[in-house]
Amino acid sequence: MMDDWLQGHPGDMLGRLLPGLTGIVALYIDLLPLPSAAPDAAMPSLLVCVVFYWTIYRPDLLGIFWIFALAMLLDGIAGLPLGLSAFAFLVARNLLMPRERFLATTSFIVIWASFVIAATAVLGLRWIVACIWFGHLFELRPVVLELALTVAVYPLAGYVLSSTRDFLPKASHVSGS
Amino acid sequence: MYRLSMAAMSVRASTQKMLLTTLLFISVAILVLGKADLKLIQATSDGIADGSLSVLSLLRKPIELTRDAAHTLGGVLAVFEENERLREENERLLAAQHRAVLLEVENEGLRELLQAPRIEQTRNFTSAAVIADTATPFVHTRLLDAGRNRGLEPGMPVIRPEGLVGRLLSVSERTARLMLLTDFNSRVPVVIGPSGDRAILEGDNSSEPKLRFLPLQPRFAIGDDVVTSGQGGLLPPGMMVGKVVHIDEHQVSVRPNVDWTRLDHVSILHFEPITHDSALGDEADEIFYGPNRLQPARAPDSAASTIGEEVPGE
Repeated sequence: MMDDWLQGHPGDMLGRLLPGLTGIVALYIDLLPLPSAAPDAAMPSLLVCVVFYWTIYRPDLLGIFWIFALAMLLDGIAGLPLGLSAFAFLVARNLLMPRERFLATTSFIVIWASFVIAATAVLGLRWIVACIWFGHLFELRPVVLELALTVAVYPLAGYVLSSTRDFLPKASHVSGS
Repeated sequence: MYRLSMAAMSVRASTQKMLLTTLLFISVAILVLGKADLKLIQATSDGIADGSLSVLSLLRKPIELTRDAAHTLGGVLAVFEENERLREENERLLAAQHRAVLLEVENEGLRELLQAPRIEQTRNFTSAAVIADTATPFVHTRLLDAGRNRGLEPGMPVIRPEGLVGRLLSVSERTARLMLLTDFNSRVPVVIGPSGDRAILEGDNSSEPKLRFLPLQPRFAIGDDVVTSGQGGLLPPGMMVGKVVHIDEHQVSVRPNVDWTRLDHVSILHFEPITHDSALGDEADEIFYGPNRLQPARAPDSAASTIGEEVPGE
């Protein structure tokens, strides 16, 4: 696996880091203190969009280590229980793994529909584990609102991410870390 | 050749599966250890927040600039309305100042009559910028760009000129985590004026926290001010919290005075808890941080210091 990373042109090395960097940018945008009307105002999760996109198109460049690290970073900065988002993202990734080849070649509507399922899995699992961890039944409405916003923002996020694909090295395989 | 390639892919897939299972196991283990209040997990979380400080500070600059530009433009466009509003506010403040002087004289007289000791409170503040907004449905916290390096300690009240915002939940070297009044673990002893009814303001992750443990026959009404009572000694008394906005058979809602859209800077009040080491200490922690939250570590005495910065806008 490490050999894959060291092979090729130095420009390829930067290209290989690009999906991970987009994940970091999405994570920090998610956490920026944007003006909101109230503390309970819902925001879309760009990180879910980015992880889903690269899991479909370049799972070899945004592997499970990247996903684990990004999710831990999210939990650490957001003050959530460490491991909460990592668990939810990894379970969702596990669900997507057998279908990534099919999704990479299918129509956008099918991809978007799959995204609804994947985002529901991530945000739903996070809600369930958070309820267990805190011992408190959190309201489901903010989670549904966050899900709706995340699903709505996916086409735009996907469009922006697709413009970075020209800078990526050619894929030698589609399943990897 | 084809068979070899298939075998390599199969090995790679099974390696992936094994890695995924291992990382899933690690996630669960970290979650369990975090619940068990392992200090290493808390230190890791603090370290991640500290490490992200410079990136978050840098990223909020363009947002700050845009917001300032929008406010300036809005201010120029609405200069006449703003002038009128300030004139009215000035009249209200002059009337309030007159009342305050009268009350001070009355208070002084009553003190002398009762021979009550004067409680002198030096109010020292540290200003901090909000660098991260959690925006999750589970916790209502914010990350601040000041920590132990600026003399902050867990439990310190966080305020804005409009009133109380919350309290510091945890403090690391360069950052601190602020728990808002609306967080489901927030508990603040309050008094509702002018009735003087006492209650606990309990966050429920909505924008309007609820009043609990009310007296049997409460006398307050919608629109009454809610201020901190100082009960338990963990918060100074008399800090503005909000107004009663809704009363029904089941609950009483309070709308905090804080303007959430302007929560870019806050002031942290250097306040020494009065009963920290007394028998009430643990009980008071339970009241303020709720039963579900990891309780903040007690700050070492040597870390206690005052900085003496002014509250913005005061």
